[in-house]
Amino acid sequence: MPNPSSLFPDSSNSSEVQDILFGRSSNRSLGGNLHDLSEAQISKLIHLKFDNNPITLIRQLSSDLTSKERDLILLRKEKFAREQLLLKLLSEYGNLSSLEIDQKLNTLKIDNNADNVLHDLIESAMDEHLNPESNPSINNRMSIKPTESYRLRSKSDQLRSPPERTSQVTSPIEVLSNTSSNSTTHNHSHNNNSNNNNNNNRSSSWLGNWFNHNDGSNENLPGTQGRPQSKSFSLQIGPFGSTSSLSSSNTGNGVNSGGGNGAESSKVPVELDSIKVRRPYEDRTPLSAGVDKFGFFNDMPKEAQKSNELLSDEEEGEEEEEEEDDDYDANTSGISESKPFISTLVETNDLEANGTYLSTSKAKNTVTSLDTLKQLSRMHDEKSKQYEDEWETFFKSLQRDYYYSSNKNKVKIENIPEKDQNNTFNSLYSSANEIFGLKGLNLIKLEKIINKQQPHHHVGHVPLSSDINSTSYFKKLHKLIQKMGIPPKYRSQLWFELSGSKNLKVPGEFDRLYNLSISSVNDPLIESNINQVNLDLHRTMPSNIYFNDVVNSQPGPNYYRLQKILYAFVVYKPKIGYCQGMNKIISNLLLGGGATAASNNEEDEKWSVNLTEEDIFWIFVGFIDELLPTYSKDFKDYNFFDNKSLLYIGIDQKILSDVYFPRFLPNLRKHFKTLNIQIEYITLNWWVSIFTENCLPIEIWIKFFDNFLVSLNVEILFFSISLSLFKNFEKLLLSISNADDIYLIMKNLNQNNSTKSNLKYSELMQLSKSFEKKIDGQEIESLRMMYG
Amino acid sequence: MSEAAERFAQFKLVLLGESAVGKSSIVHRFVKNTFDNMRESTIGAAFLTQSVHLAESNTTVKFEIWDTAGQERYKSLAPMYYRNANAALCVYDITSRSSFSKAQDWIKELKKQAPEGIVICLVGNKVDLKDEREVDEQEVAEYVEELNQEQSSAGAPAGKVILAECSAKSGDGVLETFNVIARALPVEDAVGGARNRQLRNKRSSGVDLSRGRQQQQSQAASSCC
Repeated sequence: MPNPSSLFPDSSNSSEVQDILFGRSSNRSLGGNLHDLSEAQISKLIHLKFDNNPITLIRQLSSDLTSKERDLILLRKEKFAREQLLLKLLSEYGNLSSLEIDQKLNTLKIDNNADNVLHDLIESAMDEHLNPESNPSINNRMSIKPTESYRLRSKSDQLRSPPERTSQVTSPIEVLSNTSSNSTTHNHSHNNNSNNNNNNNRSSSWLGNWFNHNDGSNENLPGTQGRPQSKSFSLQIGPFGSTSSLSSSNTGNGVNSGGGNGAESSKVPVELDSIKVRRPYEDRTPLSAGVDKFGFFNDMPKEAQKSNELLSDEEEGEEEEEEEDDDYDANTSGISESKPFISTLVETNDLEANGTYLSTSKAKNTVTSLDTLKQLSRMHDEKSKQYEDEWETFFKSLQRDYYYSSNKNKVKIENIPEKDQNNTFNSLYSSANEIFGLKGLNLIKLEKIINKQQPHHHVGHVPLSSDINSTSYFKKLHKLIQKMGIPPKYRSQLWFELSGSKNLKVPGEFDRLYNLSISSVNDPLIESNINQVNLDLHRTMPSNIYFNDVVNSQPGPNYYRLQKILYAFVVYKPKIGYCQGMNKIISNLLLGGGATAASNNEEDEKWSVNLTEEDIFWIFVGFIDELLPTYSKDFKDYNFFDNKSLLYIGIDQKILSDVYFPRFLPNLRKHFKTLNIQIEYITLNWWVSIFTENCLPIEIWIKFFDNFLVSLNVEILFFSISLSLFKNFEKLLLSISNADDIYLIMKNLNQNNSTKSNLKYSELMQLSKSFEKKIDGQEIESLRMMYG
Repeated sequence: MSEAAERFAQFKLVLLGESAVGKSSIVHRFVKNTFDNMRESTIGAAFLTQSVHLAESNTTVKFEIWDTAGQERYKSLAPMYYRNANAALCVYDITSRSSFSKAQDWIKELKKQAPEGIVICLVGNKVDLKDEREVDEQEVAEYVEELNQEQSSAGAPAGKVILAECSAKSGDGVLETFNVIARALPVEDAVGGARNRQLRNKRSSGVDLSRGRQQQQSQAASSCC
């Protein structure tokens, strides 16, 4: 091992200092800590190293500190952003409530003893078996003190692998780099410390940095070609190119690498990089960063967006990941180098004040909590797999029964390829007849047929699955949808059938209607409706990239789809016309029903058919015509979106607030009464927009829409959803004694992060189910008469 | 120098006007001092609050703002919001004649249906687009004058329509408009009203309200303290 004393101009005098700096002193627990030195030692150090000029030392120390601080802040911010993203993903895909996640996270045990933590980190780093073939792409850049004309070169190749970086990053302290010198090209080796397996010197590393620092000017040397041979990897923290590497004990094999100008800093917390973030709803067109799976721009701060970008970029693959890191590092170190001391400090304070990142203690927890998050996502994956299996089973038994029943009844159906078990749904779907039918009512017919057939079973007849499983298909479908909504891969096709669109759709009609809408400008009714539509087109989902392509400052693809659908609808139903709220519903359908939703693997790709705007149009028509509540007055039926219906929707709000509220939510009702809160101010918006406007977040709305499609009494569902939204926030609302605040909360449910994150499909559905059972359709009818 | 205790009053204000004249934008400029070219259309009605402080009377006026949807078919819902409103902002777009006549319709309806004493303000928005102006300032002024004369000749108390123009985009005139409305509101009555919590607290801590009011009046008369 080269002698570390070669670092010092006067090596004969420096051995004591050196011992202290490198932690060999036996009387200190954390050797090398400057604060542990005696005054005499410090002055000796200043004398030796800084020509009796302590200012250099202080400057160096404080700039090191600031850069540390800065790095920590960046780390924390990035961790925070990643954690947020993960949490979001978990709640979006996993139906995991934040409570569940919190509970999981709270079970974590965090060792607060820094020494223990460090010890473990070092241990695990030592145990790493690094792949020597991995790309040693990162060069160390050293700074040299010109006055002493030392030519130093970093020789530690960086072999990085996620787990190690994980452990390193979490350590606030690094170990001195252990490099072996190639004596032919270098006069001195630097920072050499063969004792780095000693826990005690862990903290000495960043102090070690200033040995190689001058006051800002670096001299970078061209490097010789290096081959990765030692099992060492380095972590550079700080803008001045201070390098420290953690090595395994056999660093004797010479490592030489180009010193050069490889700007690097491995401060990216890597454990998250290994979690591949999937965006199953990604469109064919690549999403830009900061856009969620439905294409909504995140309100993330710029920094967080950046880390998000990194995260998504790393989906590309491992090799690229390395590059990404380099780019990123070069970037940041470039910034930091040019950043003067003061401004760094100011920035630090600003960030501190913003409080947008995790607290220090929380940052410590991140590693462990991320493991838990990984675990949670695994749990979630299993859960959804299980759920999809349930659907699969459902379809299989349905297919079998359908096949036999139609054969019995001589219903001609295209051959169902029974062998093709994997293609259950497709084959089921491809048959000319509707298996599900509007609202799934065909299932009830099917059950009747099956039940009729059952007594006539002959010997040897294959028993129908309904013999085994007597639950009715319709109920089963209903239950499955209530559980987690329709799985994305079946959604588009089921929407198409359950909404009745399959029957409604007339080929070519959509295009005809649209063309009419452009030409028939002399119809004042249509004209005024078109004008209304035009006013709203650019005001629909402006924060979604599919509607508003801000990058190219032009409308997104869904803008035109929405336009086409609304234009065609206005011609199709001129008496209903355009009603604000329709734009929201269609937008949600476009986002959820296929136009942008693509599944995340090829297997699923096969199943899901992307719905065109034509399909969405017919689904929307089906929804409006067949599924939404209608209001009857004087033997006339009014469509939900009919102008006259507003009055009756208003009456329903009265029923909600005067009958169901006191019955089901008496405490809340009392509370609202004292605050003089009118519930209909809140619920009317929900109803006229079918719970889209400032109400349900889209991922939940889509699942409720699934439920609307199979609900036999949608108005009961409307009442029960309204009640469950209040029930969901009952505690919070009871604790607020200001009417304005309650309005603000309930009228911005999907706008506020705090309320949004507390809306969970499964929880809401559970509540809604319990209310649904207690609400009687007959009663609603008579109440309507009473209040009308 | 004895100073009158700060007083609080809360009022309900409703925004009415044709679709896309900028009602929500005005509210957001007033409440958050932001402007967004791409604002979502309002469905039903949105709710926000904001306070203004009137230095001359040391009064904080809090507005509960109900920002209604402009689409014609939601018109039938408007009474629900202006039913017990203290002030109404009838907004039109100075670049659209039709929006002005719609605002006139709203004023007519309010005069008929709204609670007596409601403060009505007719606001022309989008003055930043003066090149595209379709509604003449003079014409609006004459209309309002006529309206107010009718009012006084009918012997009705107060109830003058306030005239204003603003730009939610540039921010010009927005705060001023709300300040004018705040001054026109019957702060005295509202302060005494039971709906104000802070005030009730004050009362229980021994501040004599009626004296405060007298003080306030004398202050206003002499405009010195």
